[in-house]
Amino acid sequence: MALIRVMEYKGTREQTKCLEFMFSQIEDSMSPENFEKFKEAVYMREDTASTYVGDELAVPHGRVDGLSAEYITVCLCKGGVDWPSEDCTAKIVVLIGVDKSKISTYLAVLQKIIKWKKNAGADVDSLTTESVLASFEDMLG
Amino acid sequence: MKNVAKTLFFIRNWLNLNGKKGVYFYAVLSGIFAAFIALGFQKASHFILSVFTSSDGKSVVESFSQAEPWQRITSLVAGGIIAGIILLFAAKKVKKRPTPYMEAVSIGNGYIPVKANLLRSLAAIVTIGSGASIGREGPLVQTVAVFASMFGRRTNLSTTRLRLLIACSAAGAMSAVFHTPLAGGLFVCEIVIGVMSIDILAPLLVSSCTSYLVLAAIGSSAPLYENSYAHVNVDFEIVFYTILLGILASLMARVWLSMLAHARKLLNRNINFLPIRLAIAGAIVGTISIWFPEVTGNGAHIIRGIVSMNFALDEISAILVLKILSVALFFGMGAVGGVLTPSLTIGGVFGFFFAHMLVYLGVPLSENEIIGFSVIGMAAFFTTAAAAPLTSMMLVIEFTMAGQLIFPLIVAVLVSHGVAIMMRTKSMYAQSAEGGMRGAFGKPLKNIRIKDIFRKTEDTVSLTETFDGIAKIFLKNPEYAVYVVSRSNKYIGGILRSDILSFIKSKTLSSNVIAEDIMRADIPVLRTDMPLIDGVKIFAENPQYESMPIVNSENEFYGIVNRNDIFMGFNEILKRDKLDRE
Repeated sequence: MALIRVMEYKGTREQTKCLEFMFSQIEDSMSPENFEKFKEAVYMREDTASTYVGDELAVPHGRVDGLSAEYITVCLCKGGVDWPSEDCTAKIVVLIGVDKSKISTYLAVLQKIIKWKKNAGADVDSLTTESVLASFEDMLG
Repeated sequence: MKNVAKTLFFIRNWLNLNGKKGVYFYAVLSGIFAAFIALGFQKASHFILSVFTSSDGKSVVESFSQAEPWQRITSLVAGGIIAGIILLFAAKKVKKRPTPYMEAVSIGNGYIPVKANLLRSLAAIVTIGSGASIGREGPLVQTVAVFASMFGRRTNLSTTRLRLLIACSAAGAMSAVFHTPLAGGLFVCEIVIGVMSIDILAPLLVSSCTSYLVLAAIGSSAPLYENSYAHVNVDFEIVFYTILLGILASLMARVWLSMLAHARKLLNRNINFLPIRLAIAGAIVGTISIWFPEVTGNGAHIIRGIVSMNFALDEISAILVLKILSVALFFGMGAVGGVLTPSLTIGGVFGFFFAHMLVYLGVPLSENEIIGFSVIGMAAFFTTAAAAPLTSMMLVIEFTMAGQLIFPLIVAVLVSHGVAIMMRTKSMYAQSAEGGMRGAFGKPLKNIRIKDIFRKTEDTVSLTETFDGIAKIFLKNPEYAVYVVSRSNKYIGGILRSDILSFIKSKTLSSNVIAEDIMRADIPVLRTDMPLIDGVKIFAENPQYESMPIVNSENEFYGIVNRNDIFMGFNEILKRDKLDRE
């Protein structure tokens, strides 16, 4: 089961600010312990290598033990976020949280998201939270 | 090569050659390849011999006998310099070290680096072609194994199949060199793999017999040293002498092995001086060959002389001493070559001396009985030198076709083997077979640790390795997990094929996913100092894992243990342990 949320981000271009905004949106849906582990896993992964996948899309993610569902949080950042630097500007950020053991699920979700972005085209400004939610529910729900 | 591999890959799939059928398909194939490559190797070294000595002799000794004295020296010196330069180039310019085929089969993953090994083969062809006192079997088998490894990887064979293909090709090559279809298979089974089971021996024999058949069809497959009249009478007195010969040959082999080890330790030091060292060895042996051309080559000429009684006792005494020194000199100086035939030669000459000593003490022996003792000495000596009683016995039987010797041969090789065990003599192949199960078989079960049966693997990746890179490893080697290690080689986790199987050819994920994303940290980890029995328990409790990583006390990645290896090894060790206790 996937818990999908879509939102718009109108803050600064800083990667951390954007991530903190997204974390604040899902904090209530996870146990405090899992939430802290998830945050830590996402930042650690970002430290290892950037999760910017090109095409103005970034997919920060963390795998944590004990997650009962897939957490898919989509953020439309029409002003752009530097991911991790000015060279890569992300306009869509998809934060993925999956259980540590569900590697195939994570890969399937990631593959679908990248393909969706490719099909959706380059015009991020035309996307709305409603249309993205509908697409994601159709794709992952 | 790529097209041949693709065609064979297609044939394999078209004929649905999976499971056991596939094993025999590869055994036949490796036998054919082995015969052709072995012939090519021999032709190449013979061509070099004819160029260096300007003669058309059939053997090294014959060519050297025909050559002018100065040519004998220049041939060996030039050969040494050229081979030394090739080896020096390989050591300096080629990154990967040349993995011996024995290591690739017993503890490796079947991967034999091509460049480094082919350069060594080239150096061996030049060394052997120039007349050096060294065996050709080792480098020849290694060359065949390199091609087998390359072919197996091109056709995406699994690690298990790849190792078997290399083992089969080695058996085929041995059979092609010595014209010994049975001993070719036994050699690999007994010395390289260390487990004598029909499931393993059968494909090896299929390969060695195929190779023998090809050789019979395109060349000569006659026994190398045929003398079917060689025999010794079977009575208590002769059995006593045979036991004595077995004991003495084993002790002599121990001295020989220690001499080789010391020669290599003393003479083979700085790699930069290799061409000069080999040239010096060539100059010394070349000078000796002016009076004794028999010191050149691998010693086959001497064995032939013994089994046809062409040598007088005083003549062979000088040849034996000079031959031992020549082989030790080349081996010690770092020449690429084997010591299998030289060992058989020394054993044969030792048996010859022993028989003459009996005659001197008043034991009436006919000419064929003297030859019989020479052959027994050869087998007994090689038993200790190679730690391979069965191979030794069958090798000399197939060499000479002297089936009447079977009873005294059994006695002599068993005695020699027993003495070698009691004296803890390490065979000439001990180093190559160290690590892996083969080395563990001699120990009591309670003393065997996980590190005794590990396999090396180069299939480790860093945390940031891309999905594409990982997928390539799985496509090459689909059986085992890929392990993730840090820059300082600390173990971090493992990637299972089952987790990524459906996505393995995904272009979308190829550069967007890294090892950290798909790694598991919960794969059971074995410790190097863990008793074998504990490892068996862990495998039994975790049937989903085909391999597990081994780490040392510092959590450094050490290698892997495979399910098949641990259970097969445990079974074999248990059997031997039980026998010991009974």
